[in-house]
Amino acid sequence: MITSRLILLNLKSKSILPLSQLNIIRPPKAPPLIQRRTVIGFADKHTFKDEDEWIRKRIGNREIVGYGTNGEPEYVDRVDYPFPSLRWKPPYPEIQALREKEKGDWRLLSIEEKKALYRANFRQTFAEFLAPTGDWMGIVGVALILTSIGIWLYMLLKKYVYVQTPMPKSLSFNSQQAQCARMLQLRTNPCTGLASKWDYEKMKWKSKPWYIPWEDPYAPIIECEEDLD
Amino acid sequence: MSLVRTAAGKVFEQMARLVRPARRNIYHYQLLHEPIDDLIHRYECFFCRQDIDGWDIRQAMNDLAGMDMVSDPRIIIAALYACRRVNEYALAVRYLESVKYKCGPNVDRIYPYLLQEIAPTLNELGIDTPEALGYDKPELFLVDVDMIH
Repeated sequence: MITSRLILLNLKSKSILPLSQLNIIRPPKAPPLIQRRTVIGFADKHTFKDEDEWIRKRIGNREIVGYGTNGEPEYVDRVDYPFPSLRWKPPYPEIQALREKEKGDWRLLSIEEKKALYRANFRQTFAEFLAPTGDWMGIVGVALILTSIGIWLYMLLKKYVYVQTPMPKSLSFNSQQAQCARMLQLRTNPCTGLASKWDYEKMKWKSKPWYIPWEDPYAPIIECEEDLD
Repeated sequence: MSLVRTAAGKVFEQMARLVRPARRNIYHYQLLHEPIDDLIHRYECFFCRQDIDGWDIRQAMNDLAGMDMVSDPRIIIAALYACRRVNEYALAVRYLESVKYKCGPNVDRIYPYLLQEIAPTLNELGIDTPEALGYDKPELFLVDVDMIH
C-alpha cells in the first residue's frame, strides 16, 4: 500500500518500476494458524501450480498404469472398468522384489506370492466388492422402529385421550344411523358426495363394480339442448 | 468441417489438411454392425502385438468388459499371452474374474466351457484361475469407501 502510493507520487521520474521489480525485502511468512489436516481433494486444485504435484500429493508414490474409467488417476473397483489407472499399493521393496520374480517363469511363484501380486495391484477381488453388505437390514430395522412408535402413540391416544366418562351419546351406533338418515333426507352433497351414493327410488345404497373403465358408463356425457347454441 | 462452400473456404480446407494430423473416421454404423468374427480378429491382432504396452492391454480389457458379450476363448488366449509379454500376473487373474462376471446368470454353462478351451494356455503360462487362488469367495472384508464417514 505504502510503496504503491510512493510510485504514484513519483510522477517526475522517467522510469516507474512495477511493484514486483522493486527490491523490497519482505518479512518471512508466518506459519498458518490453522494447519490443514484434511485430505486433498478436487477443490484444492487451484492451490497447486503444477498439476503433477497435485496428482502426486493425492495418490502418493503409486504407479499410474492405465487410462482407467475416465482418465483421472484414481483407484476404483468396478465391474465395468475392472482395470483402474493405478496400482493399489505403492512400490514397496517387497513388491519390487516380487515384480522382479514375476519376470521369470510364473510356475515358480508360490500361491502366496501370486496372491500378494494380486493384492499389490488391486484392492478387492470381484467376489469381495460384489458381496452383499447387509445395509438393508439397518434400514428396515429403523423403518420398523418408527412404525412401532406410531402404533404405540395410537394405542396411548386410544387409552388416555379419547376416553371420557360418560362418552357423548352421539357416538353410539344408533345415533350415527339416525344422523346418516337425516343427511340423506337433506340431500347433502347430491352430486358427488353422500346423497349421490343413495338410490332414492329403490331406497338402497348404489352399487358400483370395483373396476370402472375410462369410458365411464355410470357417468355418461349428457348433452343439454340449451347448451347447443 | 467440410461444410465450407466458398472458394476461400475450400482453399482453407486444403491447407488445413496439410497441417492437421491424418486420422481415420470411425463410423458408428460400422461399429454397431461389425461381424463378430471381425471383432474377434481385431482384438486378437491387438493383443498379439509384440510391442504391446500395459496401458494398451488395460484399455482393451476395459473395453471388452464394457461390451455386451463374453470374450471369445481366442481373445482370452491372446490377452493372456499379452500379459505374459509385459510380465503382469495380476492382470491375467483379474481378466479371468472379469470374464467370469460377464457370463451373467449362465455362469454354470459358459465358464466351464471357457476354462476348458483355455486350459492349455493356462498350463503353459502357469496362470492360476481365481478359484485356485481362493478368490471366488471373498477373502478380506474392507469397508466400502462410500460408507466411511
